[in-house]
Amino acid sequence: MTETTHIAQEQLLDYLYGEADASARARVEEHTRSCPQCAAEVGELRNVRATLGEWGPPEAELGFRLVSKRDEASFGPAPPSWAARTLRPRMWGLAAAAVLVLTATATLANLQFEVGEQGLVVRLGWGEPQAVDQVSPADLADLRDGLRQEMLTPQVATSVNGVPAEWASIPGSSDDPWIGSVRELIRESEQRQQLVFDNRVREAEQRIASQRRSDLSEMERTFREVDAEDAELARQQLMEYLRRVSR
Amino acid sequence: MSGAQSGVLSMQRTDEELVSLATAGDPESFNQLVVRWERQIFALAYRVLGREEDARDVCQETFLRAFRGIKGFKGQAKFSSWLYRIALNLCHDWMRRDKRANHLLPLDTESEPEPAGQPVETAEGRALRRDLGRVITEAMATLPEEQRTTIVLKEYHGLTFQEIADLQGCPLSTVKTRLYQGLGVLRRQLKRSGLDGPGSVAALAGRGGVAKSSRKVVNLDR
Repeated sequence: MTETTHIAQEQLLDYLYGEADASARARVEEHTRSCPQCAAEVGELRNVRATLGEWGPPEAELGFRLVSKRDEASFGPAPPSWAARTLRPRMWGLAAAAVLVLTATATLANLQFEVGEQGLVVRLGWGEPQAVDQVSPADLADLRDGLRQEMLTPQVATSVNGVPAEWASIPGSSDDPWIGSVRELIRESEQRQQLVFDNRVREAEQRIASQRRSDLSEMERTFREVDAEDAELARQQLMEYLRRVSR
Repeated sequence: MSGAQSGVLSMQRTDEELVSLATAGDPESFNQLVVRWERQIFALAYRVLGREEDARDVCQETFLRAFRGIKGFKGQAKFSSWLYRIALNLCHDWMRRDKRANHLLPLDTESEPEPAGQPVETAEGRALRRDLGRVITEAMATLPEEQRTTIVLKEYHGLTFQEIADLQGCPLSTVKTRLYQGLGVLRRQLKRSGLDGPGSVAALAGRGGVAKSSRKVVNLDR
């Protein structure tokens, strides 16, 4: 009997996690065909793994960001500070810029612009109304035209991936420092969104790929069992896997 | 990769390139590394610690330490391994501190773990998933730290046994023993909660058809 030569723990784990080479894999499969005890062990561990696979972390808003003070103070970098997205004035700026592009014409009356020592400040018209005497209607009209032009420019319309080089080359865009600043903010915001998006795509791809790998190996295993023994039962098992795969 | 992503990829640098840019004093490069890894680090800390708030703190602290120590990263390991090591050390500190403060494992059993990619879910499905999350969180909490960490690294982060051994500074055989023992404990705990088969969520929901035929698969192995 094979009683004395059950699969060693280490080989079993290598097999279970796909780190066994072809010959080791074949040995395990050969053994489990004739040893119900080891076959049950493999099956149960697979089930535990399947259950663990259902456990995801909560969807958390992370968005940590290193903020250098270099942009604000002239020289001498201050120690970097961290905060969640909602606490970060800079992120408010990015959010405001993003909203600005989408609703530039509709909400123009609610927007305030200030150019002071701290650079450009964009405010949405929330809370107390404030005097707008630093910005003339002509400036607003310039800005609006500039933004419209950006929205209509083909490079921008297709710039899902954030294309700083093309933006910088739009004729006349360098005249207005405000538009430059807004553009910079939008670009940063877009880049971050793109990175996040790209990472999610990559994660999803990895997940799908690993799921596919395990499904395929299950199917392969099942096919082999069809050849080996009890064709009727194994066929049911195959159908079950196919159902799960196609789900 | 598809053509649609080529634009993205031209912008995507490798971790190592970003590290050397960050080392040269470019904070934006470091921020790209953060964006790239924060979800993984958060997930790692969440599964090891079992609490969202702690996981968030550890995640933030991990990147802060990584930034401060980035000049000490000489590329002897993968950047991700280096990050994992920092995060796991922090998790370890967190748990020790918790033990000192005599916490009685106040786990996140009320929170709702949501696996990505399933945005639309019925209320019933959500409740079931929450139950499942709670059962697994509690079962994991009974494991010794090394076993839990090993399972998390292997099961959810796909590290090889060798990578885990390097991270934990122990022999390969120890890693496998930890994993095997941990899985054994989980198996018993899950069985006690009736979650011992594939399609456990479906089994919980009492959707007899799917659950039963899944069981058939299990029985075949016996």
